Amino acid sequence: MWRKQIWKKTLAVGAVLTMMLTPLIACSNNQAQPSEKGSAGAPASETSAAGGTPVSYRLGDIVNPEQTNNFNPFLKTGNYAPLFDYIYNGLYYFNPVKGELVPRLASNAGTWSEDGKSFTVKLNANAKWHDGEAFTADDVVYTFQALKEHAALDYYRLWGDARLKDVKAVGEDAVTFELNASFPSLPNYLSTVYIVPEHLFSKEDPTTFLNKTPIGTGAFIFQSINESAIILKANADFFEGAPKITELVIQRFKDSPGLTLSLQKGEIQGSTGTLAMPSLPKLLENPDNKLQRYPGLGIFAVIINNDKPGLNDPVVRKAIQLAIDKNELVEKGEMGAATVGNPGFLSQSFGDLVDQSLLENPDYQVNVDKANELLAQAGYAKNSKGVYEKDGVELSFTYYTAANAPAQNKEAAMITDWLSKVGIGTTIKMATWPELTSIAASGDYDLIQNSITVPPDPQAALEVFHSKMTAPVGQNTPGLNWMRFRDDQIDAWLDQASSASEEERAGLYKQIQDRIAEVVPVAVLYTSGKAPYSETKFTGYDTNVPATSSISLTKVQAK
Amino acid sequence: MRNKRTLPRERSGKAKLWGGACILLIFAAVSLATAQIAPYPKNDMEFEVWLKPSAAHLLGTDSYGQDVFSQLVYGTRTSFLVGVLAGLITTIIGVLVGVTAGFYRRWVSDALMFVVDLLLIIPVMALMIILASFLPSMGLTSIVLVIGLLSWLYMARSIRSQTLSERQRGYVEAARVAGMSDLSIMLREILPNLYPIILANLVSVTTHAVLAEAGLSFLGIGDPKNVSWGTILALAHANNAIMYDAWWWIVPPGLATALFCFGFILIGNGSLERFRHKRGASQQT
Amino acid sequence: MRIQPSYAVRRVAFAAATLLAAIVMNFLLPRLIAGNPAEMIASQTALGSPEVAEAIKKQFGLENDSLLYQFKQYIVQLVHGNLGISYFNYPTPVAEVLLKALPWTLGIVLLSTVLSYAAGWLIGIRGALKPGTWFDNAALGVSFFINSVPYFWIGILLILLFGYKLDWFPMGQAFSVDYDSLSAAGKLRSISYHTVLPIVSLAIASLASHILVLRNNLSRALTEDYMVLARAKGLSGRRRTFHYGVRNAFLPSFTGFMLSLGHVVGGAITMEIVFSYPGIGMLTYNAILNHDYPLIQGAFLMIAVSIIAVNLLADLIYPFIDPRVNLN
Repeated sequence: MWRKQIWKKTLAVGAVLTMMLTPLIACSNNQAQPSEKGSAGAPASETSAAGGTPVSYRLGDIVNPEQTNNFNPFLKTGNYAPLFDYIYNGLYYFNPVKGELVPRLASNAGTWSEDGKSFTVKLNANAKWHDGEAFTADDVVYTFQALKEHAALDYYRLWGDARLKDVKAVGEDAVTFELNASFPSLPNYLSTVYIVPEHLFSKEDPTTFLNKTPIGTGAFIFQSINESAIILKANADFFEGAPKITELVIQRFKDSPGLTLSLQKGEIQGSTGTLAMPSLPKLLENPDNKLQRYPGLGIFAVIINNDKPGLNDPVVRKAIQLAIDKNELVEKGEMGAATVGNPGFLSQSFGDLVDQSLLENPDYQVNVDKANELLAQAGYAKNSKGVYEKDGVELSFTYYTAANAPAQNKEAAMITDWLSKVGIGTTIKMATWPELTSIAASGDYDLIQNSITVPPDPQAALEVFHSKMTAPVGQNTPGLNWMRFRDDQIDAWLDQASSASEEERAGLYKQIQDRIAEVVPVAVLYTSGKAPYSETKFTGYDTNVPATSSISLTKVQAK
Repeated sequence: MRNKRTLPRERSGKAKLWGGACILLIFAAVSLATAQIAPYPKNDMEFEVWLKPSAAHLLGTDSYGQDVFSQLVYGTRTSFLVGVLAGLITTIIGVLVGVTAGFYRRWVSDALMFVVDLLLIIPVMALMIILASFLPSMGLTSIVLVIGLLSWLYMARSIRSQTLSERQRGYVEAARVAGMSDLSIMLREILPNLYPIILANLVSVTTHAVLAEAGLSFLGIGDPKNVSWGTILALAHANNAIMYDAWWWIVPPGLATALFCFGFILIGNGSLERFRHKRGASQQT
Repeated sequence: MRIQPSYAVRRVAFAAATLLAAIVMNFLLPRLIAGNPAEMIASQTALGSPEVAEAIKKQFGLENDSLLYQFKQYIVQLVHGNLGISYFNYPTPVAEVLLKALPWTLGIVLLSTVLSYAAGWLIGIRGALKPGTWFDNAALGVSFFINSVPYFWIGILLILLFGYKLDWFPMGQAFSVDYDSLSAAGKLRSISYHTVLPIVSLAIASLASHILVLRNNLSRALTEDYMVLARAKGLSGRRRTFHYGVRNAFLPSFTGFMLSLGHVVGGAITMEIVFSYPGIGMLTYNAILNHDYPLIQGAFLMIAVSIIAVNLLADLIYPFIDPRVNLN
């Protein structure tokens, strides 16, 4: 008898517990339906630029909490850089699909003076800051002066010795860049600098300003950020006309598989490049899902610390290069959706300037026997662990790869496995993406598997290897020469090329690429520029530029 | 009444023991003979990707064209080694600390238990990640050490309380009167009486070690060159096996882990039941 | 029932000592494993400028290499409630970063802990009272099995089934992307909706051991001598079971429950990562991988304080449940 009573009580408690959960589930289910449709989230009061119903476009990307610390486009850390493309503009936009410059805050391609030492840009008269202030030449001058005053912000050394001398406003609507020497790459470099509003930035220290509500000239206006998304709304006053979507939501993910599943489910319509590659074939089974591919400026590589004992020997670096089967890596690791990297480093984006012969050159194809042979010839002998050793230096290195990125880790496993076949030992360590960059800059590493995203200019891309872009181990590099690579020959060629005629440059670039392929400051793997997007609900993507870039999304409209 | 209940219990204890032993023996055999059992070499990526299970590939292939069954077999060795070795390390430390703290009163006990209580307030998983990210490498040895050295706290507590209660019993006093040293009392008198509780703990720390290894691998802390059930799961998750309905990639590693730990739990439980039964019987007579 | 003053004083003193030791350990831990944190900061130079790096060093008392000096600075700041500034979230103070993540973790872990203990106890009691029935056997078997499963696997399977395949629940995050434009009720709904899968996974993962513990304790208690005595005294079955059996069997479970509550703050690293849930676990994980010492220290300290506090609370409540404790 008493047992029955207990059971009644038990049931009652169970029922209460169930009831605690049920309303959550029930309510939320109702909630779920409309939010599926994407547009329901936007308040009804908001009117679209076209005057119709609000339209919300959802873009997905991995945005870590530490990347939401500031929205200051001057800074390289603590922010989510792709966001600036939607909010800010440079004078020019480098289109990685076509490898050309598109005027943004400039109204034309700019004009060079006779002597090539002064470059004048006419400004876009229709541009306006999101807060209603007028965009003027002073904003441009302020932005570049800030780089001059704070060398730490001048990432590409625009104010270096043979480069900028002065930046001056010419009336309200033009700016002149005066140079110390001929510097034909200037326009390309200009595309790397987002112009910031003087009226907001001049009151702050640009090196520490967090810029929590960014005000730009871009097609989208920053609205809010939370743990799930960054929300931008269409800029009705955008100089190329208001975007056709009302709202651009950048949905935050923690990893690429989650993002890819969302893409497959249709919760998001695109990503700026993040995608779990193995899912690609399945994703493309839906004819509405597209993957735009282009060589891109992010060069994935095994970054080698040229200062470390063992790795300072070109023969060892050569062996690393010969051990890696790039085709296998692209095919198995990236599902064929990446472009095999050129041992001369320059991305295919730079077209004719790339030394294509290096790709086919048998000297740079995977060759385990040759690697072993080279090491043995150089006096290395295998020790009991099967690892080469010379003068007490064992070819055993730490190998950093991104944490929480199993696909990258799998590639790391493939690569380190190949390295072990040429008698190079590795111990794999993990670090987050931001930390990989940080240790690369500080030099506290042997090998890192990561991408080097180069500026949109062949000169700048190759200047990654200039000795002025590096620093001793323990100090942060001023540029992207994380490799601590120094080569007088390459320095000389680069300096010569920086002011040379186009024809001369092409020749010099070939020489530089050949030398890079030969001395292997870095073991190039692949380049991977991609933009997955869905045409299920939206149409009108501009695929002459990356399909999810600001320019394209300005044109996108709901079906 | 009592007989009715103990008889099936003894039988069930025996059955559990046998069942558990069988499961573990199978896994042990697999991990010893990986090369013979696995149809293809470790990390071999030469097959077509996303193949469904078939005669050639019992559990299909993954997104890299690796035979999932082979990977699973190689993973068995890792998980087995980590479980057994880390479990042993944990047990040894746990017993040493527990018995010492339980046998000696006053400051030895207090000091040891203070250390245990102190360490207990550190989140173990976080500590493991910290160690893993600072250790020079995360090979099998490091994983075993990290897990083994950080998991003994609860065990030490439970052994200590059991030792305390054993200490109250007459035989310890008798041994002391007979002039036995502390050490031999601990080893010869107390320890044998702790076997069941040690065994129960051994089982749970081993299970814990296997699961911790899977967790660390899943978080991407382990050595990616090492195949373990955790790394297989991590890869399946990261490569969206679900989009391809590739259950053969997600389900087997989880089930293998579960079955393996289940084997340990069966043995632990079975032997506890048998022990209780015997002890009950001897007390009655 | 009253708490004996001497007992209370001892427990409080013990908690204070643990807290002190935890602070020292917390200070030493990153410094022991990581070598010189000053070097780390120098290379990290928060916002890229050396001045900033210098300022941070000063903030953490790292401009002086002496460990004693650094410890003094650490304590002084701690007394002022200053946990320092997170390297990776510069210049946001650690306390602020932690407080932002805390409610998410508290919400899911607290709810799932309560839920799983409640369910675990109910099932455990029923199993122990009716040993050998199909219910008991099924509960035992399932518990053993769930106990052996990697718990993140449960999370993954739930996401795959209910998030991806059936589309009933979101696959991750703490709320929907349109959160900011929702009404208060809508926000609450959005949050609750997103907590369902994490809570259920956490509850399932821990349910099994609660069932097993309570069932074992209760079956043992039911065969103890005092139960026989109670029977001999002619007490009713129900009174026997609950007043003597369940109450005694419940004690170890209560300790376990309080322990779990203490671990609520730091408890769910893997699960938060599986569900992309922006709580303390994810924060700690990222902080560790980013070598963000101040944040790691802050997180650990918060966890330590919560565990010590809850343990103290448990110690002080215990005499009311089990009078024997007071005697010693």
